[in-house]
Amino acid sequence: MGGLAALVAFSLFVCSVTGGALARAPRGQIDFTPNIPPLQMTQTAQALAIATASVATPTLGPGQSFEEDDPSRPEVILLAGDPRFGYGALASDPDLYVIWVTDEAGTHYLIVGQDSDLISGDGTQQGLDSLIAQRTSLLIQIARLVRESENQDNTSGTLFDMGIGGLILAGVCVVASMGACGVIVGAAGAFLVPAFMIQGDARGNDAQVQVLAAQLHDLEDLIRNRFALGLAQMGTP
Amino acid sequence: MTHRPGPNRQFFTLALWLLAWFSLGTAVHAFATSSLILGLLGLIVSGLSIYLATTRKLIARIGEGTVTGARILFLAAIPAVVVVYEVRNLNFSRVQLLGETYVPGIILIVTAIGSILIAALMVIPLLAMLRVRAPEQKP
Repeated sequence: MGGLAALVAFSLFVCSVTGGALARAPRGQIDFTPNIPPLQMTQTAQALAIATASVATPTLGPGQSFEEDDPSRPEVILLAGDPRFGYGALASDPDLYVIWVTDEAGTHYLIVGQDSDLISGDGTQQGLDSLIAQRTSLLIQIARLVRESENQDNTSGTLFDMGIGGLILAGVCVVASMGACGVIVGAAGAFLVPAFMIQGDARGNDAQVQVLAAQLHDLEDLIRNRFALGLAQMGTP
Repeated sequence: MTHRPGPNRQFFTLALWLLAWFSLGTAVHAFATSSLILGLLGLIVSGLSIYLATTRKLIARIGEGTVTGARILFLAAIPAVVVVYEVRNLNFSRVQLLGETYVPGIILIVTAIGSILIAALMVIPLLAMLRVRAPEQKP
């Protein structure tokens, strides 16, 4: 029974330590952004690009589009969004904006005027600025819920671990008819009940993440449609 | 010729392996979500469980006498609780998150499948115990 006593002692130690440990536990690392080269320029590059803008790219104008792997794609200063969906100022001409969207084929870029309805909306349709802000907000909410769910799973798992250890110990007690097994069962229950409750919270967060992910999917489709509409209206090849 | 352990010892050996597997899963999940302290705790519990399951420190001390039906019912609660808990973690939509492989979700599912399988194996010694159960004690 020495091993069992050690297991109980260890379980109690772990219980007392776990609370503090959880508070200090670092957050999970979530990165939703795939490996797309960042669009934002370094300060030096920006200075160089701006300094040479008048001679380097005089032909850029609204309606021009580029693909991800196009070597002539102009440098952009990110203003909103991320490398998948966003818009920014053209480094060589800050009066022109570039908007971009990503689909299965890659990232597509379109140059528009700074005052384009595509970005700010036209009264009947939301502009990309508001849609991209909504997308960023959804991504932040999802990341927060996922981190919360991960932490809850860690807590619940550790508590359940201790609870099952206690139940096994109680089982040995019951088989050996040692008496006072109820105390051990009670102690195991004290771990198992919160383990199940916290697990329930984690699964609830997962369900919310699924709902938000579906909203994000729809929103990204809407952004792609607005982009395609803009591309068609501007008559680019 | 080696002595085959009776159902009582089989049951508790499996129970310790179940604890070891679950603790390992908890530890890996904690490490995958950057929770170092909980990961280490899971590893320690897993190591201790494997030690107890593979040595004679605990298992040899468990008697092979018959057990009453009520006590077998209590023992059956151990795999039952594990199955109830792990079924709730079997959410296959967690394999991917926003179109990308989500490693902590996969770890939870793999842990759950393993735990359910071990818990299912625990039914065999339970049934063996039930066949030779002792009569209920009168109060």
